[in-house]
Amino acid sequence: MTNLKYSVLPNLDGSCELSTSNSKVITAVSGPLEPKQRHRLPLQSAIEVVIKPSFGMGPTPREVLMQDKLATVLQAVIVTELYPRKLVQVNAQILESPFDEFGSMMGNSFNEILSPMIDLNSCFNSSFISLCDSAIALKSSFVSTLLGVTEDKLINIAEVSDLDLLRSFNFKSLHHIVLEVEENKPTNVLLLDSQGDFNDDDLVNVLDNAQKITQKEFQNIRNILKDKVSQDFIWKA
Amino acid sequence: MSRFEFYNNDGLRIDGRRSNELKNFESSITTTSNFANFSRNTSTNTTYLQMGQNKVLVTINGPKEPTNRTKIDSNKATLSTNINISKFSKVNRNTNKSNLPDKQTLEWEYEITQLFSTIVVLETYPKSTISINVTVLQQDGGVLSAIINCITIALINNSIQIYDIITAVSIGIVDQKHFLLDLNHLEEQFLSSGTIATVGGGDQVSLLRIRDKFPLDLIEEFMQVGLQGCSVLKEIITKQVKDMNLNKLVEIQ
Amino acid sequence: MAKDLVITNTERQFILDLLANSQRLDGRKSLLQQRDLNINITPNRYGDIYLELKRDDGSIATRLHCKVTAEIVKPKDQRPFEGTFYINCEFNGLAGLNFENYKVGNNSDEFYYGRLIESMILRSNALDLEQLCIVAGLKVWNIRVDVHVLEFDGGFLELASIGCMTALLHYRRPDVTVRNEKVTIHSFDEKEGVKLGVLHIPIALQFNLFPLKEAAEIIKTNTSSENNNELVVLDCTLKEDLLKDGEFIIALNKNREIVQLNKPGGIPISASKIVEFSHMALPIIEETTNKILKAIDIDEKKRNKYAHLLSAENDRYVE
Repeated sequence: MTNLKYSVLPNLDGSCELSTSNSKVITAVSGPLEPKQRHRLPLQSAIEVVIKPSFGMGPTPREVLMQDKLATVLQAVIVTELYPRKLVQVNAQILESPFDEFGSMMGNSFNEILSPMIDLNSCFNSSFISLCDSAIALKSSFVSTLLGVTEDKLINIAEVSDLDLLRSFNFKSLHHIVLEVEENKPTNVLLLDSQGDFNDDDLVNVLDNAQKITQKEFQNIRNILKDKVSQDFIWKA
Repeated sequence: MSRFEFYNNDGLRIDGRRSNELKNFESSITTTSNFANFSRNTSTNTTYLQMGQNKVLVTINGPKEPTNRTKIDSNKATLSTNINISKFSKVNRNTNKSNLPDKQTLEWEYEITQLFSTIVVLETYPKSTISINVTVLQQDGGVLSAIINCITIALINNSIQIYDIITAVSIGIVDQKHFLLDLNHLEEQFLSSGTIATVGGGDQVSLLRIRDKFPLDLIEEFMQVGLQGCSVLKEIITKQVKDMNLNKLVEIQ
Repeated sequence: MAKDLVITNTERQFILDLLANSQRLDGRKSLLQQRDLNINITPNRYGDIYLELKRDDGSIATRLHCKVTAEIVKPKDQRPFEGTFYINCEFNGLAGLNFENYKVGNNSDEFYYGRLIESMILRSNALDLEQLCIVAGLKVWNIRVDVHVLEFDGGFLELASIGCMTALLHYRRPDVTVRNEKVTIHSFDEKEGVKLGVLHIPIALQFNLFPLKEAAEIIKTNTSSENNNELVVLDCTLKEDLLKDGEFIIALNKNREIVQLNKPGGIPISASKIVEFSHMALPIIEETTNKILKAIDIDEKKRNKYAHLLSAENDRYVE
């Protein structure tokens, strides 16, 4: 069950605390800001993403890879031409991850791949709400889904609440899909990150399912946003 | 509590001092004779302090124009401290291969910068930096206090305006009742200890640092012993600085 | 902390004037009044604490997340029988735009405060490190506390020390058995987790000093300790924190022991004042300690709903 809280940080332009059944992140967006000289792009805004791990000093290479993935998608979604020579900063702090307890990897190499994917999945959804909250212009909406394929079934990982079950799944492949949503319909694929052993049938199946989940998830997000807009300062009579 | 007898029935400590007796305190400006070649290349005086077996060398650079433009403060000078504890300064050689200072040294740097920022009249030197470079050649307990005392003397010798003299001593406590002034390294290792620095030998405490467990009810006595030590030390420093400058004057003439 | 935050001269004067009249910017009526502290322990996890400081109007001023993690490492060469302990204090961009996002310099306040808490716990043996040894010289537990600042309006040192101690008290590490040099780690299903050996609870308290006179004057009026040269303020907000001119940090535990006493420079204050404040800190720290223990107790009861049914302990009269 995804739980969202927006505008949790009053000091920043937009923020969101998102907890899925097994992970929790807090993201914040600030912008458009005055960037440092080296970040300044003449015709569009620069996008800086910083993701901090749930424990230890960061960002480590694990987080840097996550940052890059998030930044490329945001580059496509944010209307960067609107803020030339400016900077949009996205900060994320991972608060809970199913694999941050000792021994939780259980020697399963798939879990090592799964762990950053879960974090990134939550970061994506959370940063979308943060962007909406910060009133940065977006070209379209996006929803991220993380699906795992085992021998016989397809699992929406964000909904697995039993951590021990999650850790002991025997996944054949993992798919992280970010779909663009236009006119309430999932359209383009913004990011597809698949790991493991799979064939094209699997992938088509995964995409079909991702579309369904996206549609459902987006309704949920839309309702939350509707709620937020109706409560926003300016619209209040 | 203690494996050693730090304070015997005759009131003497391991090194033969009384409980409230300071280590011998010997400071000098080494611009001439010994360090002639060494100091010719630098624009500043070197001040050397021997406090018991602690040997500390302080050079002060500045006030000068800051190398880093961002550090300029148009109202006052900025102070920076750099402490270098040499690897041969202790009985146990430091096996740390890297040349980076350890965390304790960084803490000291922070504290000393904070301490002298209020003591030096920074408003007299706007748009400049004063950097304090400390080299510890040998340490024997209470190094922090030796460093602070040496910096005070060095500031005076470099004619940098200060409001008053800062003196610092270390204090330890034996069996929850005896207070020992100015610890040596054995005492420092095994006793609860702290460092106290006061302004001008009065009862204004400028720096205080206790990092060990210490009974709350004894804090008052601790302060008293510290303040006494500091005021004695102030007299010593004042005298030595005067003597040194007389010598300097003689040399110049 | 927040180096780029610029406070205008008028605002500075305003805040200082307020303080001189025993008023605070956030509506508190006394210089020694602290903001409300909330300790939230995440259910179904060990050593995962959220701390909140609330303003009088109910909004959250400071929010911290403390998390304990453990891993098995090789011990240090000099101390083969001891586990290791480490605190990671970082400000990130979440706390506000004025906080730097990348690693901060070693001369910063947060480095100093982080070290202060670390040595507060280590030097006073608040955490029993020998209990963390699994195989001497080969395998020990490394306990790490991460302090994430989610929102910041002052009070970092106190909150971080409370958070670290609460998290350490609450955390359970997996049990291990060693047989023939072979180490087996039991999951929480197999064996109940082992609490860390927390021997006493030191809590830090920061007294912030604001000069009433010019620094020169304070230093020169050496002998008259009667004179009120400075204001002492508890639980500063961020802006007050940036304007302060010296601080005085004391860490105490309930057993009337000073664990840390630090005054890193700043304006000098008379020795008698330090003694006075040290004694003043004790009731405050006792109260905080009780708060921590209560929060942990409540959480314990929630987790072990059926403990009283399963227990074979006799009912005793409890006062």
